[in-house]
Amino acid sequence: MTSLSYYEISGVTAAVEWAGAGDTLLCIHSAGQSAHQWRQVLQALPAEGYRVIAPDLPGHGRSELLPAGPVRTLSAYRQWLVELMDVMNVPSAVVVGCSIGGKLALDLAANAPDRVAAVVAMAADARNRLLSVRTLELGLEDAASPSRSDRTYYGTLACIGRSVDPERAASIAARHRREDPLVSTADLIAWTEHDLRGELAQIRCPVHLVAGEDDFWVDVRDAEWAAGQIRNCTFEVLPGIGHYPMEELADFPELLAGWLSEIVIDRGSERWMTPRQSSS
Amino acid sequence: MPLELVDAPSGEMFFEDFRVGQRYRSQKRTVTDADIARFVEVSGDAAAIHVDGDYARSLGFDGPLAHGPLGLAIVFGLLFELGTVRSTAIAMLDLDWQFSAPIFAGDEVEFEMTITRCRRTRSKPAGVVHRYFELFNGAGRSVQSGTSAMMVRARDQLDGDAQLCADFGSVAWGKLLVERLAASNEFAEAMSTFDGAVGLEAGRESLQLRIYKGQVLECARSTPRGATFTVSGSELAWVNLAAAPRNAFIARTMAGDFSVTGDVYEYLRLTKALVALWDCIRELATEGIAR
Repeated sequence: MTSLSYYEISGVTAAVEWAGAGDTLLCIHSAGQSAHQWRQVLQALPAEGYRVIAPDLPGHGRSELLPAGPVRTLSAYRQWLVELMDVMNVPSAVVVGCSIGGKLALDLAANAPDRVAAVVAMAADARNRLLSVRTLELGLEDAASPSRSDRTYYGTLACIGRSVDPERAASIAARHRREDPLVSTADLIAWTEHDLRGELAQIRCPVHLVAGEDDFWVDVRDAEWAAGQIRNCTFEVLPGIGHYPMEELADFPELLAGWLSEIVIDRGSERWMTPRQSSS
Repeated sequence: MPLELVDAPSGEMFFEDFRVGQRYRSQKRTVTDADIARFVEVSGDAAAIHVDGDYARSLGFDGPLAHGPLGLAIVFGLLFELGTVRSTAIAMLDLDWQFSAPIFAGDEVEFEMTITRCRRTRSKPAGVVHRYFELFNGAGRSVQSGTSAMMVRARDQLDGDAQLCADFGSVAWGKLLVERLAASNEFAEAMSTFDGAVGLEAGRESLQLRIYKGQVLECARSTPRGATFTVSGSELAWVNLAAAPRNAFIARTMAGDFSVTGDVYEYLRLTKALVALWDCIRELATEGIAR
């Protein structure tokens, strides 16, 4: 049983799907998508004593676009997320994210350290070398092409891991093609332009960084390099998995609960609300 | 898996024994100071960078560099040691080579070879085999790579066309592909709004498919109004995608294995049709290898 609540964030309506009570788990979706990606987590993690909150970023899912239109910088999303935490009375949360959501989780930990108790960042690196902003900007003009959703469909299929059942992969790709191409292209521009390399050393909370073996969007070596720059970070490669572990893996909630039990300390205590001091 | 990985081929190979996608790994061989000294003698190239350690170090290298062609020569020496074509090879026909990193004395090098095209010669009992080579140093870094074709003896006067199914980009291959496209509803439906020609280029081979509303009207080297767009990749890129466990056309295009010229937006509009086209190419290659 999950609930949907609406808040006014940055002057416009934001939708947040949530479930459970306890320590807050803030889940951030990937480019162009919405809280639907965290359906399994919303259903299962409350039983582990977490209050799971999964917002639709502005312009995604049921959240309205910001007045300035699609967001093209990750720092704007970070400010929006901090404002959301204020409005929802969340002093500190464990942040779980994937793709741009994973990079946002790392960015929050680096730039709003007192609001982040721990991070699970999936398909996240510090700087993406694959995409060209110039090409993406042309893509904004071409967004009306009738085949734009075909490209999302086949592009999603191509970055889902080989171990995923083809029917499950097809259903993930079918969900992803329901995006707004202007919003998801702007997200990819934000992702490509945001270089976190110089900020990783600021992160003090524990981090578990996860890369999919079959993810062509993120070079495993880049993700491993990023993990090496963070003081208190464990790194894991998921074999046969691609860019979207929380959708690809039927047992993702169990996996996430295992990671959280390793990195989140002092559950339920006052201290939990303040970030863990680095061991180094 | 349509194509196979062969670690240690045994015995003499005739043209009919080669299959596109076969992959071989050579023995390892350590490059020595004496090798470099002998290569200076043989070639006459006594440039300071190959013979003067202090000079090489002043340029930021760890020591004297082996001559680039020495690495190339070692590839063909290791190939001889594989023993597969000692009495069947007729001639090396061409060479296209890149030198991407230096080789030093002490490096333990080895190469990997992929068969990228097999084509029967009509006029005599022989065939041409295209090969892609990559030479690695002891740290596993690619130091040289390139392609070379050889002519090799065939057993029979004229064998069947098993290898034609992977002769990517040739018109004869294209005609086999057209038969499959005609049977693919996915391709026909996804092409139902298209009137133009699709170019396919694999290495130096290219063809055009003239298509009207899902039906391929002609497969030819060229069509009167030219290709609307052309999808190009090296022979190796074609082989790798044909051999991949799933149709990874989108991923490999994003990784730069394939490029597009011409009307790029029409190409993007036809994404679904190109995925269906690649399904047919992969099926055809599988059948060709198994036959």
